[in-house]
Amino acid sequence: MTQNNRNQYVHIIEKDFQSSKKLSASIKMAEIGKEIIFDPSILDTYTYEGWKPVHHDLLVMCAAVEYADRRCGRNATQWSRTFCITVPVQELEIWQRPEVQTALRGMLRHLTGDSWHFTFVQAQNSALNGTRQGALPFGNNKKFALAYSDGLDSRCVSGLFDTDDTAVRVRVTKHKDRVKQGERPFDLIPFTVKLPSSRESGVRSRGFKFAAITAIAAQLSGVSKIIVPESGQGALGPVLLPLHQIYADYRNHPTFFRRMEDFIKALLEFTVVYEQPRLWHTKGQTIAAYLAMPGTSQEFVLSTRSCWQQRWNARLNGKLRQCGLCAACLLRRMSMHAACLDEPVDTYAISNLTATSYESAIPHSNHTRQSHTMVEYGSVGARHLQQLANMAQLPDALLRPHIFEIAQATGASEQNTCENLRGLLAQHAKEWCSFVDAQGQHSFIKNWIFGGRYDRSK
Amino acid sequence: MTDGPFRNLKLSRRWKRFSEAVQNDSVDKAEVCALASDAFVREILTDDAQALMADLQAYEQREQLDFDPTSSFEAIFDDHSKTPFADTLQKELAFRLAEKMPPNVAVEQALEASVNDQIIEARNHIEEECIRVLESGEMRKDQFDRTITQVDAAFETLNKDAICDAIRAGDKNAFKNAVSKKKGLDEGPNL
Repeated sequence: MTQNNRNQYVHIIEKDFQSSKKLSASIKMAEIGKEIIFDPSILDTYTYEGWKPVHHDLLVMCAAVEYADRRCGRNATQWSRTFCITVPVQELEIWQRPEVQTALRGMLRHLTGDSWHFTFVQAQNSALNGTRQGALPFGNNKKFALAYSDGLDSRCVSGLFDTDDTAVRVRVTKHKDRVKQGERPFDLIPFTVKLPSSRESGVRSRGFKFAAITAIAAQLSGVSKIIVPESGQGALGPVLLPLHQIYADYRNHPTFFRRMEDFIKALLEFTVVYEQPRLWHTKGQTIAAYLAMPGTSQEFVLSTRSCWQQRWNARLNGKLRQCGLCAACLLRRMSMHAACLDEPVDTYAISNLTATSYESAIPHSNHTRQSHTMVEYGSVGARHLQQLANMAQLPDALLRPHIFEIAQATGASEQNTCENLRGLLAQHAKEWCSFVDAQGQHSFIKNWIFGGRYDRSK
Repeated sequence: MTDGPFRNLKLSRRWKRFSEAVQNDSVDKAEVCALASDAFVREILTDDAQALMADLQAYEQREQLDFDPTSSFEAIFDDHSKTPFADTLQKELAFRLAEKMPPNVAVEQALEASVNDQIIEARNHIEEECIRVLESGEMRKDQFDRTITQVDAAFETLNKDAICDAIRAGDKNAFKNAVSKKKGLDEGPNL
């Protein structure tokens, strides 16, 4: 491929890499061991039946994709980027198979909206030497793998489906490594990608990382089912209602998982199925279903974290809280409300949504400051939840392209999918309206969602 | 939606010009409408989108019978960059082809539906931008209310057929004359 200004060139290199030719200064280089760091102790925990080099290659690929995605910012007015990435792999022949390349490129394109081109070169270092350990001494009673975060869905879905410790858990957050009370052990993501500063905050490629690592864990532990814990609003909402000029977020959408299954089958010759048992339920219903089980505790649910913000927006008097106003926080708050769970008053930095204005809702403390982006996060998030509720009233004709797409991806009939989608939207509308009403007539949230969304049926 | 930023891209220069015109009483409604149409068409018709539309049209003009139009269209979309518009268009088209609609009719209807979606998203985005500006103190409440009303009125009068025609023809300049800045006081309206 010829170089041009629009392409982003990224080379993943091994330690002590020596190039025989001079590389262009425009090529971004990430060295394994420096920018991409594997943790051998975590790798060891995956060694149920022994690693294969292709598994390590897949981790390198995940890191390469994450590095490229975060390193190269998107244009302010244009979504798509074109990546040309060189990756050293041990199983060169496998990666060069046309079916592997086609499945990989198609899946990443669908997930991120970018174009991906890969050049694979033979790896010189055997990364697994010295880190491999024998099979772990316990019997394998595992039935499915689960991507596990500190979020509400993963905790509740884990509680609902992993009643007899048959889940292989892969933790998808790097922030907290300790097992909390009530949790069972989990496997961690075995690498970190280091950047001086990330230019791209969207990082759509996270979906690939989580899905790929969960697939590795599934294959190594001999299970062919992966449970995706995301409830309906988070899985389908971003695709039903994309933002203006922003590529739809397919991270938890069934169409992404079908492509991921094809890629895993082509690469690992392993059939895995990503199941979404909570696709047609709201987050509120998922919480309620979990709490209805015997022996569960509200505290286990309340101690979860939904807000992705780690910055000033979420800090109050030096303590990290949840911001309380971004889309994730609003969805959490309405879901807790639907499940009749009262959260402690110090859960959120912006706690009082009954305030008549945003200005009066934000905490006024010498140790706190809200960034100017907070209004945007909050208003766009609130309007998104309102517009998702409005979709419950749309005629079938306007929902049908989505219904067709989801039905194709899930193997269900269009009629059945239509009923499920309508049920989900109706339940969401009920929960959202109840939550907004509970904030009172004068809440600033009501001002933000006034007017709703222009409807093309009108 | 549940983990990660949930923000818009910045408004493009043309949408900003539309937003300013909406608030300006001296700009007539036809020009405001043209500004919105121009912003749409230029936003959607990137170089890649122009090439995509040309390939879709070339397919429609084929005389050879295609037994698998779904795969053919998929290949056309795969040959071009993903854009939010192309993604919507592909989704709308796939659904209609599965309904056994003739390809030319399917493309036509998919295009109209996709343009409609873009209009909805743009209108929504401008309202979100107005909320941001209001909360930052750059706009008073009365100005905000008036702007929203004017934006609503402008969007209601959009000529969707003209926008679809421009996109179908890959003509970025379809509304160029209507939005060109007047250079002299004596210059009249475009004829």
